[in-house]
Order: sequence, then C-alpha cells, then structure tokens
Amino acid sequence: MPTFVHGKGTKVYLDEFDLTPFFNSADVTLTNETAEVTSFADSSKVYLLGLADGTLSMSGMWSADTDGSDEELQAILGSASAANITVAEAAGTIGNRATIARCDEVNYSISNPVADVSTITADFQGTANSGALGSMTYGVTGGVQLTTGSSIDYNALGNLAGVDAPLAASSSAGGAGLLHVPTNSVGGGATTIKIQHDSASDFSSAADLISFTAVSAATKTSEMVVCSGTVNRYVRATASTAGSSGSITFMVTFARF
Amino acid sequence: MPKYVVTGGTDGQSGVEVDGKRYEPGDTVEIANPKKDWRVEAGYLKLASKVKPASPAKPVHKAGGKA
Repeated sequence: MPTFVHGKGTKVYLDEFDLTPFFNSADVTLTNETAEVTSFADSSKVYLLGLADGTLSMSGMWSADTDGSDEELQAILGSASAANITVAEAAGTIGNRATIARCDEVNYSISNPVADVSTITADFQGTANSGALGSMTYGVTGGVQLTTGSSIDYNALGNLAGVDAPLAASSSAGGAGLLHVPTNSVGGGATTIKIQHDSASDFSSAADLISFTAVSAATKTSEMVVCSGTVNRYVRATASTAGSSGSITFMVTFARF
Repeated sequence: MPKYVVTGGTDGQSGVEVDGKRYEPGDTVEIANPKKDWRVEAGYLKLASKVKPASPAKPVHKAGGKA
C-alpha cells in the first residue's frame, strides 16, 4: 500500500525565516513547455520537449510580527535578490522529500474581511538565473531533507543521518544545497555546515560536496550553493562549531539535477 | 601506504574523512586502498608525489616604501 502524508506536516522556510506558523497552504507547480511540430505527414499531434518551469503559491495568515509573514513577504517583493525557499513535506524526518526553490516573489495579496481573519497570498516564480550561484539547472525542483529542522546544542553538532534517495544511485549532473538558519544562539565562534557524499552508506570514505559559508555566531542566514559533476549515492549534512555555548536550528535540503 | 594530498575538489573547499578523522584541503593523508577509493578518481585526493610543493612567497617591495 502506498504511504501517504498529511499536508499538516508541511514546513515552509523562506530565506532565514521559518514561516511555517504563518502559512496554511503551499502549492508547488512544476511544468515543462512543449513546442508543437505537427505536420501534414502526421496523423496525431507531435511535440518537442522545451523548457522546464516552476512556481510556488502560498497562503496563510497576515501578521505584523517581527520576522512574520507581512514583514518578510513585503521585504522580498521587488528585491533584486531571489529568495531561497524550502517547502518540506512531512517535515522533521531526514530523508523525506522537499521542494527546493530559488524564486522571485511576483504577487503579494492581503485580504481583510470584516468577519474573518486577515489573510495573505504570495506567489513565486522560480528562476534558474541565479547570478553568482552558477549553473542552476532548475529554479524549482524536488529534493530531500537532510536535517530535521530541530534545535541542536553547540556541543551536539556532528554528522547527521545519511540519505539514499531519491535515486538509490549516484548521479552525474550536480545539484543544489539549500541552508536555512532561522534561529542561532551559538556564541563564541562560527558554525560550519556542509553536505557530504559517499559511495558507502556508512560514510567511511566521505568527501565534502557542498560547503556553505560559515555561519557567524548568533546570526540567522540562508544560502543556496550549486555543485556540478558526480554526486554519489549517499548524502548527509554535517555541522561543527567553534562556538562554546547556545544552540542552532538549521534546515538543509539537497536536490540532484 | 601511499600518501595523498587533499585537493579541495572543484570548489577548493572540500575536505575528506578517513577512518573517522577529518582532513582539510592541503592536508596529507595515507590511503590504504587507493584503487578502491572513489575520491581519488573524483579528484578529491591526489598522490602526494605528484603534487608540486608550493614555492616560497617572494617579498613584495613597494616603490618608496618598506617591504
């Protein structure tokens, strides 16, 4: 029997913010254009596969909180820098799926009905034109969660569980790793977060695949890093810190291209 | 065991782990069975004997100033 997941387990990260408490719906649409090349010689329509595309549409509750839905969705509308977005399905378990997106916000709507809660809707257009990121094959794509998104004490950081998904095989076209750090009270030093890969499930011959920029003490951040070439079968997140106190909450997701 | 230098991979930042110990780019590490280690073929590890030692930095003299 197939395994189904409930939508209530979804989490939404936008840049360095966990906006899960503000949204109650997150829709992902992936498309691929086709160009018709039907001729008189054909008896049915013929198409050529064209460009991939992706959009996100999210809705939820309006809030004036600091780092809340209105502040952050206002801030990125029209921003020259695309936003990093993760929509994690059945969030909280390493290996579960996620949508990884590099997006421009193209619509932000606020609704204030007289007899109901104020709500919001935000639409995002995925973009593969990511500037310094390099060759981003897809603006919106499917990947896996490499962390649970839970808080980890500074002295408990280390290697997280490996993931053998979704291919159960290595791939050759690179990928993208996405980091969100919505809370960080680690003091006394920076935290280093990486994605490693290996051909062995026990990571006995691990190598770094993606190195995110070191996260400064008590700093919230988000970063997408693109890699090229071979990605081995098993991937995992690993973290270490030079800090001496506090804890950090981070979500790492990875998608193969 | 042959010695290998950690190259840093394509981005120059990639370290490796051997027997549970971490090695950063530029470090030298002994690999027990390099023919079966995917990191050699992938370019994360390069035979130490084939890596040129870094030439010593030359002092820079600015015109009218001190080195």
